[in-house]
Amino acid sequence: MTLRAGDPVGDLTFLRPDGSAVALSSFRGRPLLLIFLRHLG
Amino acid sequence: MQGAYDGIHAAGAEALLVVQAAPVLLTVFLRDHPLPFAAVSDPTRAAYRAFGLERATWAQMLRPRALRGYLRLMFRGWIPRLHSRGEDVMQLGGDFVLDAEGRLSYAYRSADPTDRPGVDELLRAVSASRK
Repeated sequence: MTLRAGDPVGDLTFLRPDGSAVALSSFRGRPLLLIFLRHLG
Repeated sequence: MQGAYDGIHAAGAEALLVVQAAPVLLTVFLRDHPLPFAAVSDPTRAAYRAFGLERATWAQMLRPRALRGYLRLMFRGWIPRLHSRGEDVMQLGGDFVLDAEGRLSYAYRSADPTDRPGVDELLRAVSASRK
């Protein structure tokens, strides 16, 4: 189901440039602008 | 980029760039394009799917608006190049704002490869997420 405004976003895991994992929840506490790129270049 | 980020930061928000490329390729990208905010990799595109970001069709890729967008970018000095290994060239991007509690407050899912919101719209979305 597509996320809609007001929906809680589940905790997702990303990889930092060094390969270590970081959870989306670690960015909570202030508003967060997420910019998803199509591809690099 | 810095100016836009300054506005986001002044609004009390943070930014996070998400790419589908592998971390090692992100590292190379950041070396050549340093950013004032964090960048992370989502090589399985799980987050792309979770946010409802879809793959473009060839019709979307070849829309006149998309082609004009690419031409505009090229006139500004952008040089098209092949995507990195592991990246899905058809994957569309998007921009989202989460409030401080992690709820979605703004979503912009690109309708074609060159479709992105303007900086002013993103700044308004960030400010609105604080209410």
